[in-house]
Amino acid sequence: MERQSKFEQWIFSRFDTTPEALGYYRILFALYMLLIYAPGHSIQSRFPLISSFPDEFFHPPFGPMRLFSGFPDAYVFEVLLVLINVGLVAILVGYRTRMASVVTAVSLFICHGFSYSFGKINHWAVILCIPLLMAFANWGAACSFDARRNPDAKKDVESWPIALLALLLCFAMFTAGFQKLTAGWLDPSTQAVQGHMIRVFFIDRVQGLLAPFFIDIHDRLFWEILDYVSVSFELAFLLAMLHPALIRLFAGFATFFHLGILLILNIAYHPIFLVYAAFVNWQGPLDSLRLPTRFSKIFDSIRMLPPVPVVLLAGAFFYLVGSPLLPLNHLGTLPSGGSVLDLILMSAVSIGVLFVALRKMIGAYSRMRGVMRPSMTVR
Amino acid sequence: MPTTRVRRIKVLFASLFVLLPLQLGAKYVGSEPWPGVFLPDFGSVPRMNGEFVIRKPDISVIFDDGRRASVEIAQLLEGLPSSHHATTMRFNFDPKMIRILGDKNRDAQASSDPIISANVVRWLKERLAAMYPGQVPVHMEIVWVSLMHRITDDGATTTVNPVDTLKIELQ
Repeated sequence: MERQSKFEQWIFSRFDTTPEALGYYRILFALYMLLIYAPGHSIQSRFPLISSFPDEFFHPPFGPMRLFSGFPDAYVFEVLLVLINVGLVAILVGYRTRMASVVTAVSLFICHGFSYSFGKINHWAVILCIPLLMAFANWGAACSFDARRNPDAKKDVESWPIALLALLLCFAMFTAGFQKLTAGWLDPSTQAVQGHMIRVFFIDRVQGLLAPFFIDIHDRLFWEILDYVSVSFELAFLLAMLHPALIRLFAGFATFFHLGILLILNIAYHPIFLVYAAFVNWQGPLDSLRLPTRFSKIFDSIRMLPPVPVVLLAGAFFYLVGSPLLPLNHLGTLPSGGSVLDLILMSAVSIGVLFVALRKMIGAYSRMRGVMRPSMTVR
Repeated sequence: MPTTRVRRIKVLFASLFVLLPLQLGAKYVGSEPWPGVFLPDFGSVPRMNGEFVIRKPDISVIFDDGRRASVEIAQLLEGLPSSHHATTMRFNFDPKMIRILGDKNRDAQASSDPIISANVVRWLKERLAAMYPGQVPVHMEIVWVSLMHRITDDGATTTVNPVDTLKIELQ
């Protein structure tokens, strides 16, 4: 057998996974997108409202959006939202998964492209790449209608799309750090984090959570340390693409990094968790909760139904009604426009990461004690 | 996996190792592309030697009975995520930016400087009619102010100076 080069090993072997782990990730992704992102219903995704703005506001970024001369009519966005909602349900249940993934990804790219044609890009490209890349990974191979419809079909999953996602994530993080570096974030005469906090506090009037506490901190060293930590962490993320364990380590720290940004600047950026989640082997945790067994019973009932009406009806429900979690947003709104749901989600993920980290540390400590304890012979 | 497919995937990865830094370079030479592999960089550093200078708009509308009302950007740009508000105001209602962008797609409105198109005026009137039902807005005034936040050992002070004004006739 021909030996793989290190480059080939990194692409084709380093990010190996199982059909079940990828299937669980597929389900988690679709659930997040339907319940949290809620296409057409959340602040980030009310795309039809874009049509209500004059074409003079159309300032497309460099790229394919410059093929257009203005915003399309609302019905175009409605059609795309139908495709997105139905596509996400199809991804959730794993029906025609590859086609659904590609259609959903392309539709999302188009909608976001127009949203970013007001002059502000919100950096969702890596997130929107997930369904496109996972289509090639064959994330519909298990826990899916596709698998049950065709039990003899190949259940092989490909790891190179996950390696590609790693490359995109780590490079994207690097760009954030690199741009900060070239903008002067490490100059001791500037305190960038403090500056941005002051900007959002007085211009955007973002004054919730811990912002009022931090606005009164005037210690230059404190803020300079935050500048250095931010830049160093983001630049170093490039190295994480070498191994999924490194990505998980960096992603774990990044979870608290994002939580800090939420608490200080009231900016919620939890969609990036979807990318981090691609490098977690969900099979272990979910198997231990015996969720697959419970879901399997639900699936056995659902698979008796014809899949097309199920997908279309559920897709129509999400398109028309939206996420059943949306009422939670009425509990309160963050000054930046984010919701209480954002705060709950980010806090929950941070607590989860902390829990897993503590368990690993305790486990490592116990193993170390077991190694160091003198052996005892029982007679 | 067939050798041809392996080779194609390797070429894809190798291409990205070249294209990704190029797209980062493109942002410095021109502007950030979309789609592009970036994460938020938070932009430049607004703080220099204890002072923060920020440019922001104060919007007010004057009605036919002479009353004046302050307009919140979030209300005016209802439907857009809050992350888009500052850029949208700057690109479309900041005289400094309008002069830079030029008169792309604008038809001249009589006696206005800088140029705000009739289509935008129409849109403003519709928005304000929804925000203030039963009232007739005749002018809109957008005063761009320079907000300087200075931090000293004694505390922090904020001074606001108007630097540019855009007056829009709504009738």
